[in-house]
Amino acid sequence: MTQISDKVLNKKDLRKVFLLNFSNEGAWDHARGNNLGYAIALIPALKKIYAHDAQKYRDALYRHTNEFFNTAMQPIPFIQGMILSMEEENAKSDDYDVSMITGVKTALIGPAAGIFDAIFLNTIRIIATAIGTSFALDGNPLGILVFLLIFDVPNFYCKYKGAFLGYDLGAKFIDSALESGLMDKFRYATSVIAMMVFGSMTCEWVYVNVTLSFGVGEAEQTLQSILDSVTPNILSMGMLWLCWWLIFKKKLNNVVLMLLMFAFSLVCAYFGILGA
Amino acid sequence: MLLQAILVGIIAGWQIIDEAFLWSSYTYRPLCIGFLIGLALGDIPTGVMTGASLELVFIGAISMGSYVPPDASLGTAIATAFVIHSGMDLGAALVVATPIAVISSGFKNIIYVTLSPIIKNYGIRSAAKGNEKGIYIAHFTTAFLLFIYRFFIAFAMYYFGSEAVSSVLSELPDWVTTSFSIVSGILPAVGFAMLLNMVFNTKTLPYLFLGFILSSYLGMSMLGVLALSIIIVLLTVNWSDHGKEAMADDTDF
Repeated sequence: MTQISDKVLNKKDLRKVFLLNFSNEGAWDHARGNNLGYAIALIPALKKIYAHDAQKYRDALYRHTNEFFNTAMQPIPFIQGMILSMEEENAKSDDYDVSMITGVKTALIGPAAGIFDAIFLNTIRIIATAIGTSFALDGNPLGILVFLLIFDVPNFYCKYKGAFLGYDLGAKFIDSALESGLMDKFRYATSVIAMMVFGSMTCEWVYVNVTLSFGVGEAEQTLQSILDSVTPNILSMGMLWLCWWLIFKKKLNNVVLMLLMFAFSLVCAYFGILGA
Repeated sequence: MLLQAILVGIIAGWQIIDEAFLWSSYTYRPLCIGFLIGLALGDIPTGVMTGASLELVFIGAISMGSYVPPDASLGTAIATAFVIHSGMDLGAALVVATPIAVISSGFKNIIYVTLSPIIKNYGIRSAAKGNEKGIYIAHFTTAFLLFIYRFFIAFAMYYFGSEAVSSVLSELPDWVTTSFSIVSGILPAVGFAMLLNMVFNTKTLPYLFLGFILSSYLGMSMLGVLALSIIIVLLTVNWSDHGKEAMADDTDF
């Protein structure tokens, strides 16, 4: 039975996780987001956790580079802290269900993006911009400093504290779960939560707009509005399952699929079938 | 002139430098870029003022979720450089910045669709083999690519002047820029499909559609769906009868 004192990662390791996120947003792609930047922060910690199991280490590395990752910057160390405490459990037991780690990550990234983007990008940033710009419009370079201080002090505070908080929270949770045999139920629960949030994410972050229209004059309707009256964003869900079927049932390589999508978009834009 | 062009190029790509090395400190917003260009070209007050005006123009251009915004940093860098160097009118600079920013986003999208995933796949394959260096290489190569195209655009525009710029800007057909928006909307489905395969669970699959329907018909936010899913889980899972298992454990020693 694990105790909190058995935890592998110490404050120094968590501080490293915080620091190694310096590169998080540097390399985006549409299919996997900031996957590599996120994984880079985890590498030393994972190495320490899986010091005795090279295969599990490779699996963990693969898991965290292969999965889509995108969220606001501020909660990232918090999410990573939680993920790491779960990875620790995986290292210690042989029948840990790793899809739970993916499930927790999936469940957290959507809502975390919603909350923290709203707080930081749409509130704090606007305030910082307003005050900084008022100085700068007069030619005063102090405005830049003001902007950066107002935005970055809370920004970095969240990021720094998050790593420690997420790790401790994850650790406490897992300890009590193991003690009372809750693990199976927790596994099921995370699957439910992840699936629901995933469905919502598909609706918000996959966007298809069919601009083909029928009818003349007043009776004119775009195909999109007809589809929307059945179910809004139904094509987003359709696109998800189409990609899933193409990659996993038809064994299409994902890069080839992306290039095909690009070509498809060019054709559809040219003929006005799809719109922005 | 050459040195200045190089500096302008670097500042134009500052967004990637900030995101890849400075922990996304937002020092790449037009407000700061104006200051940096002013510093590089020797006229801080004008740079700061132009940056501030452009900040207001681009205040909505921020990447949230998977929205790829117009490239405010590049547009600001070039426009501010023109204002300081060629004495361009502030109003004209505001007008020039936006199309440049949009075109830059177009290039960005092309890289996101073509080179980014290919290079990243190398990183993922390295990860599967336990080779951390490969991850770093893939990540920073992608970042470098995203930087270098901006450097070239800004360098060329500054070096060759503003007249050449406006003639090129009018050439790009609408449907090409539309296709960029389309592809950035569709592509997340590819990444999501992979994620789906990893969390796939036939017993809880209906919840995927439940979450979708909530967002689709009720316009519920992801946060709302998360809250509701937690409530559903609390209500439907029998959390209380695991006591028997705990008692069985006590007899082990």
